[in-house]
Amino acid sequence: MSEKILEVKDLHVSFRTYAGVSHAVRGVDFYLNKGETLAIVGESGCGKTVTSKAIMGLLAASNTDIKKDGESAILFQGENLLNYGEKQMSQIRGKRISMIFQDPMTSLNPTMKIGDQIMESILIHQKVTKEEARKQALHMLELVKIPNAEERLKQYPFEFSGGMRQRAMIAVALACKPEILIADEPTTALDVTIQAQIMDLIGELQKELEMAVILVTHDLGVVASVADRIQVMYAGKIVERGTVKEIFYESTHPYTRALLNSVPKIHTNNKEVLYSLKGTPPDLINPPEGCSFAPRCEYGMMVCRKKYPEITRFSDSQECSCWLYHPKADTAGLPEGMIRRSVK
Amino acid sequence: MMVKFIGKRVAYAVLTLFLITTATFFLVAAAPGDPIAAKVGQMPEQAQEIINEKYGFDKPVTTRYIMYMKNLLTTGDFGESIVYTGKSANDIIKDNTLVSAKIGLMALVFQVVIGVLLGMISALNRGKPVDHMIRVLVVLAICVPSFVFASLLQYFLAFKWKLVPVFGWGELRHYVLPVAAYAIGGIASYTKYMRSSTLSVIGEDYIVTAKAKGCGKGRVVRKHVLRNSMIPIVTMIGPALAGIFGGSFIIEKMFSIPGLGFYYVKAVSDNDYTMVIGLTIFFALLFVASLIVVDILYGIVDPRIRVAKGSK
Repeated sequence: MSEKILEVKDLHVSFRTYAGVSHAVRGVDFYLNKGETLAIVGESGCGKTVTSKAIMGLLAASNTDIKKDGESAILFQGENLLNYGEKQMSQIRGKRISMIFQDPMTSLNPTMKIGDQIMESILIHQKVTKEEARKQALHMLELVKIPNAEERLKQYPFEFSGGMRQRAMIAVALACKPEILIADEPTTALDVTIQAQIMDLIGELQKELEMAVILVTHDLGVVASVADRIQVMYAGKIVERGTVKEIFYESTHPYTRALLNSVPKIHTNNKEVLYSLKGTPPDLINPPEGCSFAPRCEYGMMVCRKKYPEITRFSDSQECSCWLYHPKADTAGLPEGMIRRSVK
Repeated sequence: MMVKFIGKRVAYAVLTLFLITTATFFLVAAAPGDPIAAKVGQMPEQAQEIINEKYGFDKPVTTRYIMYMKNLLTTGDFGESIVYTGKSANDIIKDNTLVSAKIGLMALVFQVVIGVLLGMISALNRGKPVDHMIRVLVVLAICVPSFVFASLLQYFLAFKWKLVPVFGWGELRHYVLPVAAYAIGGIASYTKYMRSSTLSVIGEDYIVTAKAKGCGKGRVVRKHVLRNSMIPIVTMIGPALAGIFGGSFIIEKMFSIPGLGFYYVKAVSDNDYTMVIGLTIFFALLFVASLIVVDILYGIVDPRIRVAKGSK
């Protein structure tokens, strides 16, 4: 039925810093189907962006180590991107896998016309004349719904508003009709009304161009309406994954639940205090031996701090790494939803 | 819009020049000593009167100032030199500016081209041996004064290896040493500035965007890094542009080049007040003009500053 377009296997990324080696991504496995939207959710510093930059091959070589032996691989249409050199990667970037970034204010070259920035990726990857590239760029600007596209092509980024710039960024990224779009917090720097517009736009273009989207965000609210599947990352590992329904209605990992609880609800009134998760993510230079969430977890047990939990599968799509679902775990005091899952 | 912008800048420039002229005039007038007092004392009364009338020394400062300004604005004449009788400051400027400018301009071209190149190489190879080497050389070149370089160059290139003449003026080969000695310090500072501005540009988000588009390394540097990291360099070129006309007193003195810097310093020590004021105004004019040029250049390099765009 669905065809895997990208498969990430046992991805490990670490950075050499002055303080020591920081293990930013510690064994991440996931896949992406053709045309679907996969959301990667988690707090700042949990490895979401590093994972997506690793796929793009955009991590600086000088201080980064990516594990390449053993099972580790990033398979794109069956080809292992980890074995690709800089030259081969630059033929994939922008053409078959594109990326848009968090801050549209700084992601566009301030001294280059918007039109030239869109045309650039077309000219790099397609054998077309400048005139033809310009026409395509114009078409892209119209596609991302920028009014007066003809005139806008000749303008510079500083003449665009934040939302407009993100649209232009999307036009740059999609100019060559890539198979995968990685959107790294595409709406974080924008205000709420613009956020919705941009997410709608990405959704529309995804259908039109039949591409798969990896949506990286810390905002579960953004994810709900657009994602097909969600995976939750914490401290460089994926702690839970499932379909949108499973994550929103039947989440199992205490961290996922904490994330969900910290989203304000429409019926929340101003007398209630919004739930906030206490503590901070662990130091990745010396990551904890057991479950890295254990110190902040409401239901933490002795075993949690000693050994990393095995994966428990709940359905074809949902699985979670948590000791609470071990047959011997004490389920007393768990919220109802979680008990139901654990009894099964 | 551009015309209006430039017009406004020119108006400010005129005001600035007026203030500088006035300030210089009164400062020089207030300075102790008199260029001809010594000579005047030995002259017959009649001669004294003629000289006093010619230069207006017998009148109060304000009257002299009004006389001077009237003369300057109507004829553009800076007045006759007190030391080189019969020659006006204008003649000195006319005869010697080009000499200084030629050396200065050549040096500036070398400074910018080599500096930008080295700075880029250094930044793009950050932490590698090339980078360390360039940085050490830069520190050396900045710390060692230009006259030391000049003498070293004279000793080795001219005296020991006899490649070029030690000093002199007139032919192309005479340019080699002064231009080299003049350029070295500048090359070092342009390298230093270019390195740091390139490093900061490399860290910008739009460079990641460029890579994500599929730009190869060369293209990223040519299309995205170079222009953005040149912006601070353009600011530096402005004052340097004004500086080249003034020349370098030290270099001109060491290589016996009849440039403007040479005369300027001499005028101060001679108390030749018409020359001092005239040359000061001339340098101020160049400086102010070069700042306007920089503003225009800036607009070309950085579209955000281009005021011409303000149609909407």
